[in-house]
Amino acid sequence: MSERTNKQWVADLSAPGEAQEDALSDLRAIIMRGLPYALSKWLTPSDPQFDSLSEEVAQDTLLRVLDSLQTFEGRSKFTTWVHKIAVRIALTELRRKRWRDVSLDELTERAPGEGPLGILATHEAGPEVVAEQSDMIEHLQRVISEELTEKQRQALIATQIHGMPMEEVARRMGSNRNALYKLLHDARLRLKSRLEEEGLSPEDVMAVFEPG
Amino acid sequence: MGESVDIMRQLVKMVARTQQRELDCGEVFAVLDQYTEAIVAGEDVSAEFALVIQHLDLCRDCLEEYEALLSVLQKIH
Ligand SMILES: [Zn+2]
Repeated sequence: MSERTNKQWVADLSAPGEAQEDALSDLRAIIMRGLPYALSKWLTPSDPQFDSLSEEVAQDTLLRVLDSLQTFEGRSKFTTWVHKIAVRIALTELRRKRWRDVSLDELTERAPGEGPLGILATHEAGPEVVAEQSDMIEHLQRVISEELTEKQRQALIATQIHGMPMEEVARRMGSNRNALYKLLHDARLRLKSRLEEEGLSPEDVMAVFEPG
Repeated sequence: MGESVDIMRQLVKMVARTQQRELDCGEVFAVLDQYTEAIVAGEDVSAEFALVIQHLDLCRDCLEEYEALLSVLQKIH
């Protein structure tokens, strides 16, 4: 496989022809070589899903690379930029598959009567919890219910408590990942300024929750 | 109940790390290749990439993507 500079990669890929085909074939091999490492936390190469996912990711990555070639600014190695795109495509697909059967409502609603606030709104005090902690939890629950919108609470529960990926939450809300990040950022800012207004620092809160 | 304490603790940590100005996931993705290369090269990224570091601290999705890219670069470059 020939080594190309960033400029050569872009030049070779820019116009149809033999140079482009060679470059695509080399690039495909580079993507396939990176995927076992990129996916190591998700799938091993012996997993039955691995081969088909890799093929699909490599193909989609090449198309995306050709489509967005003019957005490559040369701030990294070209192949790093390509691996980045492959990683995004692969993880998006894995997240989609993994969360396919989960509905947002099921995830964020508890038993009937407990309402959509779920775990952020209800708790049973166990014997191990001191009154001070119980009071603090109740206080934070009140802050959350007063400061956040229903949508913000739902997004917070899904992402922070259940670990649902933002893309998956966003798709179910008819939104997108960037917009959801902003929604959650805004939620955090509201909670932060409310606690500041109350003169309650994060350290104060954590001190109540620290064991001992 | 121990669960409620854990959740609230996690939530308060996130609130504590929240800044007025944060990058969104798209802005982080735009520089993720550059950032990851700098990490692999052992460069001091604390000033130039402070907002990226802050985002990765708060956003699990972007952190997973960063870690995946980092594994690739560490293994095959
Ligand atoms: Zn992110």
